[in-house]
Amino acid sequence: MVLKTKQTNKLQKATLLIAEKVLATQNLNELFKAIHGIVNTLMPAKNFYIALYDKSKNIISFPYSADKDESIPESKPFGKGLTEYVLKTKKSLLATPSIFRQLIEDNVVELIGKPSIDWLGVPLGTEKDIIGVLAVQSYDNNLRYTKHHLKILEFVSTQIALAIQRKRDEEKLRLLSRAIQQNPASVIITDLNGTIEYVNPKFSEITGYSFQEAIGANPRILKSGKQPPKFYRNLWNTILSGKEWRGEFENRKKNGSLFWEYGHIAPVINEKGEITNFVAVKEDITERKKVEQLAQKRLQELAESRVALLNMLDDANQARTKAETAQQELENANKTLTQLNQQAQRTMRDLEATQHDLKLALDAAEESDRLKSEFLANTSHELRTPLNSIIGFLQLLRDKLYESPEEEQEFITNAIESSRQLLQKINDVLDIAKIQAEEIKVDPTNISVMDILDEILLLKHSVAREKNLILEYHLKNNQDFDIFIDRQKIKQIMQNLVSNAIKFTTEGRIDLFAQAYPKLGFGEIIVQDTGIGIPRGKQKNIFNAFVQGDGTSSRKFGGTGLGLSITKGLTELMGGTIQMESEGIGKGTRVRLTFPLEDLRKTK
Amino acid sequence: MIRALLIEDHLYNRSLLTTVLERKGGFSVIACEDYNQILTICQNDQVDMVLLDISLDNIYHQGQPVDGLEICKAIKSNPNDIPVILLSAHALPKDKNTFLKMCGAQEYITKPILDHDEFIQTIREVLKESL
Repeated sequence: MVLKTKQTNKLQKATLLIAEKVLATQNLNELFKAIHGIVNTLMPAKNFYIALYDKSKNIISFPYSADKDESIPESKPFGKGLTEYVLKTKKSLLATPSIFRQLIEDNVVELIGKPSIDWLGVPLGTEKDIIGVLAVQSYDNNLRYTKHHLKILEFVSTQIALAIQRKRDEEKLRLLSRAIQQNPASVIITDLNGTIEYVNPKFSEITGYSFQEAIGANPRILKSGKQPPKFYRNLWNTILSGKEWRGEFENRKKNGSLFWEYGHIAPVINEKGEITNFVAVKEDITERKKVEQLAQKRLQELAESRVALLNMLDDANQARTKAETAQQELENANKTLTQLNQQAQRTMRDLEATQHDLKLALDAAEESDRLKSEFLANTSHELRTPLNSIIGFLQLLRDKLYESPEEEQEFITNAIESSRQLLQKINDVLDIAKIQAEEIKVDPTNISVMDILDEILLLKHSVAREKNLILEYHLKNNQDFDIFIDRQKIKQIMQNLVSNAIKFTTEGRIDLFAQAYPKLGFGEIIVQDTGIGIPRGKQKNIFNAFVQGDGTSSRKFGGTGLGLSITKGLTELMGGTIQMESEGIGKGTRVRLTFPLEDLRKTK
Repeated sequence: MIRALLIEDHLYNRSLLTTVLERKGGFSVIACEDYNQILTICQNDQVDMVLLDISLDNIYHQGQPVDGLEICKAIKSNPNDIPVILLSAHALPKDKNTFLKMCGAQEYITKPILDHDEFIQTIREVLKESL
């Protein structure tokens, strides 16, 4: 009787100890080890294992085993071992050699692993929910397990199952807590009144409000006033009715700067179905917004340039109408002439001349019509090319097809760079259109060539030095002279030519030569480089804006874009000429400009 | 895996198309801008199809600049011709038929490409038809 009481005391102490170990251990594995230690104080348990059953996958895992005589796998499918038998029957089992033989004969278990002498296993958990099996076994005739041992294990099994279950819950809870703490999105939890109870570090990183500053505050500290009250009413109505709300905010950081967020806000509902809290998960989308706004702006500019081009087409149509009217008049004149034919030999000759002139006028009108259609088609081509990469990269960003944050940045940069290219093309096209419509005003005065060259050197020498290129000018006989020209336009022309020379020269020099030819009435400026030159096949078309010699081919564009044709247009507008020469690829390039020395309109 | 040869001289479009073909279509992509190399790649059956821009700025043959139509004609003059898809920003209504007739390509896609999935689908259909 005394013995029995002693035994009971010992068992009760052991169960208390197991309960304590739930708190005293760091993880499941440590808990298993502690349980093994405790069982070892109650009975010999050298060969000991714990099996857990995963119902959903129908797998048995062995997270803890101490067995010197048999290696136990980490996990295996549900089979016909003794462990599975205990799981199935939900009853503890003492398998002595004779019982084991009987079970094999009945074909309810199979021999798995090394045969033991006695095998003792108890189910862990309640009748309803068995989570696994705890088993000890002996391979030695000196150690035989009895009903007494079975009773001991049954006594402690409930507490062990409870301990394992608690530890598992605790580990799951810790994982969830870390997931929120380290989440790449900002997470805010509030109570029902909206008072903040928790924010994660990402929230502080984005908004500038520390954890201490945020707790107890209301999320309206982020309000920027950019969203109307109706927006917030709708948000509250949605989440108070138990539904999830999604949307974009423009909010204010602690330092006052604005930023864009995309957020999900959802109620947190407890087991009774009551709302206890709200949780918001938000992502900083400021960069994406910037790209969207930029693309929007570029599209608008594109639409405006389209209107300008349509106006040009109108002009061409009017020219054609005029030509048709003129032809009508010619036909009338023809009729009259036939009546007077016999007496008007000389008039006849005049008429033929007039007819010839009109034919030329009509041809010119048709040619101008054709050039303008072609200009329109090619403008469309030029603008679509960068537009393709803008739209393309924005789609890649939308579909999140990047593989790293760096690549995401690269896609954004590519879209922005392509947008810049598009804007440059639009500006160039507008310049060309203005030049062709003769809408650009020039205001020529007498200007010193040396002044112009000094200014260009000042602007460009640092760029040239960066590429280790020599940039110099040479006045013939050191003699400065005046040319009659618009100051802004000659600067634009010279800057464009010198920039091109620097761009296409990798080593050597860029020389500017100037000389006056007073008897011929013009001054000459030459830009000469030692760069890559121009292939012979391309020299003919280098100044053309889009238009090709015969107009029937696929309309290849000049490699330097529209810059050179703007230069040519401006030069000719001021009574100048421009020519480009190169011996071919690798032989350098030489551009020759001439300008009038004085006001030609005065001398006329 | 479908192997595509990409001939496109605009830096950002080349990078874009390579990414779309690889990630959306699962293709392997070779990009090339050398006339002789392009023809060698096609003759040696190193690719299953060619995606070809028309307006090219930096490809030369015997010192003369060549465009995509001339490259397409050269590819098609081989006995083992492979499908060619033209990819161009020329967008007049008549352009598609004119250019297809001029060079014998299988398909013509106008830039900007608005739907990447549809773009990949078009390429797959061309390949299916030319089997």
